Amino acid sequence: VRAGGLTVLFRWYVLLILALLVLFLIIGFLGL
Amino acid sequence: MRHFARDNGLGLFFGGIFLLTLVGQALVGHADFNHGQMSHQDDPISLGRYVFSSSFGSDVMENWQSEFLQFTLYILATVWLLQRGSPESKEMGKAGGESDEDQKVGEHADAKSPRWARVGGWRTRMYSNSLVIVMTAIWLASWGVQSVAGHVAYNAEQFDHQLAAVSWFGYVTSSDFWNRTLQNWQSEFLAVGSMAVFSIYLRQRGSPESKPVGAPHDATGVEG
Repeated sequence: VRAGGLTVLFRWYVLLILALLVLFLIIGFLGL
Repeated sequence: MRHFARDNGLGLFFGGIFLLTLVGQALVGHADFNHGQMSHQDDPISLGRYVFSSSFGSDVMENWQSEFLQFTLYILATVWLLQRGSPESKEMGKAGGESDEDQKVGEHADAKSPRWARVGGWRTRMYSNSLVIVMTAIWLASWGVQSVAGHVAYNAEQFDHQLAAVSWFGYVTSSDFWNRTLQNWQSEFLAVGSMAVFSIYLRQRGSPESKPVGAPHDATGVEG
């Protein structure tokens, strides 16, 4: 198994989790 | 492409149903929110507005934090605590961080070991705990965001009922925050405990979460 093929999914999980955390944090701070 | 799907079945399946259920939660959460608005003689809001609301945010985050706490605790607890008969446990007598040889670190690393497992020092120490570090960070971050978004949503409710707004500190020491938190924690802990204990006597053929169907009940740390 090539490591490169496994990296894609790892990055998507990390990005998705970070994006939603940051999004809801900003929404909370803005008081939306 | 077929290779990619076959190699990443678990990650793709759970990532996919995560996105679908998050969309489902947004849709029914929106309907439920507007139901509440109508019962207070308030105007309904759009779906787009709801998705970018603290109400939706705190509902999502309160479940996230409990899941990441659950897995963090499970990863940590299974280092030191054992359960005779469970495939979730290590073999009896193997409690603890184990030897460098067992864990293939430092001079015991092999040619295909990750570089940070081989180099020693702070990098190997950090890499040796990287799963728990990241899971803990996501748990604390989502719990923190739950408190920030939940605070805003709580004060909106207070406003609707002509009650005084509370501070963030007031919210994180409120019964609402801890009720939302503990109702999630208790269910996670029961489910994890059930997995550890049920798997002593019960089997799922073909699953690595279970022992092989024919394994004896007292076999510990054997995956099927």
